Amino acid sequence: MTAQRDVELFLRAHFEATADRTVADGQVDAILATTVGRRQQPAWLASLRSLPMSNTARTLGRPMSAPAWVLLLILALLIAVAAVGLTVGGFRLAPAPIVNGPIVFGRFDASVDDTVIHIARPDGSDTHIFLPGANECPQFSPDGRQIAVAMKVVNVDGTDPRLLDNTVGDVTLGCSTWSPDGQRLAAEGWNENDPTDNGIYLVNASDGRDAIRLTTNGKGNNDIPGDFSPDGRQLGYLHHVSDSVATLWVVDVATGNGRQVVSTQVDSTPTWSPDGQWLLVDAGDHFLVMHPDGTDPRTLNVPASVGWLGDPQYSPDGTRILFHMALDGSDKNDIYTMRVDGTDLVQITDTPEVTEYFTDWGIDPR
Amino acid sequence: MDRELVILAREGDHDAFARLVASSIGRLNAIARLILRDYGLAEDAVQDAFVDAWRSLPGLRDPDRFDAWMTTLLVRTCQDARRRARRRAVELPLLANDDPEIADHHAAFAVTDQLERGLRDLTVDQRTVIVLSFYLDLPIAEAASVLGIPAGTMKSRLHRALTALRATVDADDRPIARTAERTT
Repeated sequence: MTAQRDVELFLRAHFEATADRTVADGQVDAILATTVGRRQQPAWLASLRSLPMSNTARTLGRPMSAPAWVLLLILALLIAVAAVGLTVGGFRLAPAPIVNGPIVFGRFDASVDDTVIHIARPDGSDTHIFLPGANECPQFSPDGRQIAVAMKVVNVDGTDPRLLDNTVGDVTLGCSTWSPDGQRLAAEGWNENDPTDNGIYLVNASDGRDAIRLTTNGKGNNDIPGDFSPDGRQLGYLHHVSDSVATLWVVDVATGNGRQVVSTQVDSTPTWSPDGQWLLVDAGDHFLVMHPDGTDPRTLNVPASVGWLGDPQYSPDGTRILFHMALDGSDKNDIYTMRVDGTDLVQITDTPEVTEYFTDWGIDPR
Repeated sequence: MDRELVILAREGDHDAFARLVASSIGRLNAIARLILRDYGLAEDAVQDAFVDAWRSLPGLRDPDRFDAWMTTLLVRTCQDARRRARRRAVELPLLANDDPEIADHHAAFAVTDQLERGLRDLTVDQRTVIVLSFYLDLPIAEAASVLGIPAGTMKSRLHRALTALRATVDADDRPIARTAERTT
């Protein structure tokens, strides 16, 4: 019984034969006795989840009125005019401001029985399929003009998909992230026959070649790249010590020397703040924020009753965080954003029938 | 699963919830026992899942998703049960209720026995991905969603779990070689 298919066939038959559905004496009574005295969750949570399905953004706070928007726009215009005047008066041009561009995320699609990548404006409007078919882990290039989906690079408008070399010997390369100069990708690598090869590999973003091994998992599990530091000298990554336990590590790109940032178990790959000062990662029902050397660790809670959340990404301007979250009581993630201080939670997608994950936020390429 | 019962339970009708418990507890017991392989831990996990469900039911938007939602809650409580009881877990063999429908009964018993031992040697995480894939027949992305992990990670976990299981079964097929190995 060595063929994988045989193992799978026998497993199905074995489970069918051995699954024990019997109910123990008193088991139902114990459950009912435990629940009868407990209240269900408050109605505010249910009402939060029962709003009509929409792909447009919904601010959880009080919405601004139209006159307020007009005043805000006039104020912004005045500030912009003043800023331009000051800059020209000083005989120098201000650096181009970082403008938040579109977001991407994966959504489970039953028709392909897998994840399909979608793209949208950061308020959730104009959500549409970015790339038909099954794909995962989309990552914007630093200039916002391309998106890597594992070892495939596609223009941000969905055109010109280019398959990169996704093997290094017997190692298969998977989810990847861009270096800040846009020249290299750091990719998760694994060898199904020799797990000692598992680790992160650096390859050319143009063709997937010139591979350099950056990390060695050392335990036969996975190292999954998260985000480069803005100066490109370090890479934050998720280091799995078992199938279910992972910790946050940072590796020096030039030397390959890695170090654990915090001992806390974390659940997602890290994201690096655009100013280089913070690493952000999720730890189940809350986020952890700390300096890249592990100092000043802080818990960042989401202002909602959270089931599970994950995959946080800083916005390009560093003011907001994009993430997915399943509110307590749901088994499906939606996409949200909030300010970096945990306020102003905004629901970006509201799709109770499908789950969403694999988030990233690009700059506006214009 | 009765949609009307779910709606009533969601609105706070505990009798309706009791009927949902009665109708789904057998299926959930089977899943928890296959994952945890400890009847006591499995019953605790199922109870915790139902307590979570009663608390969280007002947030369940689609009543038709009740079964899938309960499965997700149960898998999470199984993970919690494993963490709480890591030091005291005693794994018990599951009893077969029926013979699998395989023509060669001698071979079937041998395979069942091998699989039983192989499954027992896996970690709870490995058994979880196998149960989600081959007992519940969930697609990779759905199973990944239940566990809150990327689909790629789910694929590699499943691959490793099956490889570990196959290695155990193959080792069982080579008793002489194993004995010789031990004596050298």
